[in-house]
Amino acid sequence: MEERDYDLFDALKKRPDKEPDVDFSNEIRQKLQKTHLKKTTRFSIATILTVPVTLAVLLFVFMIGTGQSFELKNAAQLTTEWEKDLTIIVCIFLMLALSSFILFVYFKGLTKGRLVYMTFSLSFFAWIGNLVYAEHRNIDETIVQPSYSESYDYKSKRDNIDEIQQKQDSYLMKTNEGGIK
Amino acid sequence: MHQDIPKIEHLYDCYHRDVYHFALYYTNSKQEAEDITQETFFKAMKQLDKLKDNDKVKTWLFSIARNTAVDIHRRQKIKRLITEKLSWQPVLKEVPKPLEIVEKNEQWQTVQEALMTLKSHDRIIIICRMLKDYTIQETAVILGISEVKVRVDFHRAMARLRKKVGRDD
Amino acid sequence: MKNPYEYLLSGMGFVFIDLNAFGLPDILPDFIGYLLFAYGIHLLPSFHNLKRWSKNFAIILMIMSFFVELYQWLGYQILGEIGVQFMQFLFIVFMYWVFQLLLHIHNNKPLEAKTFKTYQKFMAFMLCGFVIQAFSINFDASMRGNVHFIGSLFQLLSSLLFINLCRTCNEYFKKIKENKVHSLE
Repeated sequence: MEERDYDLFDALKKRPDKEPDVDFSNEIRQKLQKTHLKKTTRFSIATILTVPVTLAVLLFVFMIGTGQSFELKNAAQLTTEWEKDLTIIVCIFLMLALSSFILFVYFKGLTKGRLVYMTFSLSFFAWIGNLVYAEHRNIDETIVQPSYSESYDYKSKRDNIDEIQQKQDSYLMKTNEGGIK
Repeated sequence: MHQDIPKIEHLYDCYHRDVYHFALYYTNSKQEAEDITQETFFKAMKQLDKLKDNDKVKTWLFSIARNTAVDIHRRQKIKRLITEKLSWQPVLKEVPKPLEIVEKNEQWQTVQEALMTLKSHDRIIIICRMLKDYTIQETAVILGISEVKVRVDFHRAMARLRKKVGRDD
Repeated sequence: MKNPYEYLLSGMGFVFIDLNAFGLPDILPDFIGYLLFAYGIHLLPSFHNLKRWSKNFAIILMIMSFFVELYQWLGYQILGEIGVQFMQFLFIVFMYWVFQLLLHIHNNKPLEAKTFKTYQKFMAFMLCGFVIQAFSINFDASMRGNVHFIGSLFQLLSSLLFINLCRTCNEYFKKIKENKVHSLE
């Protein structure tokens, strides 16, 4: 740092109105002494009330908005077009939220402490979550297709086909006989 | 340990001047500086049981002061802007008296005014490093950023300030 | 004296081009990239623990990527695309340690600001690219390709930033070397 920079700030350090009013200082000190005992009850009530209420409101809004429960399996079984759109919107929203969080942490320079590890772990869990979700979705989609289903009853179907085949054969026999006559 | 937690009155006696100076440099307004000081100590009182390490009390208190200063100053700015918009004309500043005009030329005011034109983040770094003489480590804790970021941003902020003061070579 | 930044630069080239494949995954194998990284880190002037960790990390990644490459050459992949993506994630973690080491070495030196800015952008873009690619598998087939491409763009950008940093460090290193030679003369 240059010497003249220090001169510059020395002048500001000596600004005439730098010190707080004595009356003001005493007044705050007295206020602090008076309110000293109230602190614990206020904090706990706020915590007890706000957190569950916020969670309940969010849960309610989500359930009203989607008509779905919170189980992932149900979310994975979304089939209608509207619900598919919702899944994509949720995906995009989560992706943007996570990306914004990462950009915020690094560009704000909050690179000391847990936030960096949070960016790594959240990215990793996002990846794992997407893989699991994609896997569930694929399993559910395959169940819809009868050709891959284990519950498809080939034997009874075969019997039906044989019956139809026999009926057709006897009908053809009759018509052929009629034609010859 | 509960017994180890310092008393708020003791903290106030030790640091209220420092917090006030910080707020005054940040806002350049006596009223706002008083509001910030008051709010900071009330917030500190509520969060005192969260303080784990008594050695870090100074940086802990100043990180509260910094957040409070940013909030209050922003609120005041918005209030001023709204008043300005509602009255359809800029709020008239008090006409300076002759003595004040003479004082205007004082160096500290030039530096303070230049400081006020900087971004909040740059201003806080300069206040911490140059006016309150905190170390890079302390400034990093107050701002919640890494030490490298403090060093890099401090040099950039100083370059900007020099430009504003007209000492840019 | 060998220039460590040249090795880091070529290491990045090998790892990055392989990661993005371009349909030719076998030309610049990852394990050579990690080997170059390990050697570059070894040449860096520091005795900090960070150096030992990042060098060991590079060696572990080299071994892992060797097996991934080997299986690709043999015609099948370990865990398919998942293995590649996992390697990509480990690469980002590895680069975090490399940057920590570089920041430690460049502490209070003219290159500190540039290293830090590159670190900020590199980590942010790399992780964003990874997240975008992770989410892309659950998008519609029509969107999937485009989203994946955006993720790749982020990663390309961050790789270019690292290469640029290495080039700057390279020049700085050369200047110091020249000055030393002149002072000896």
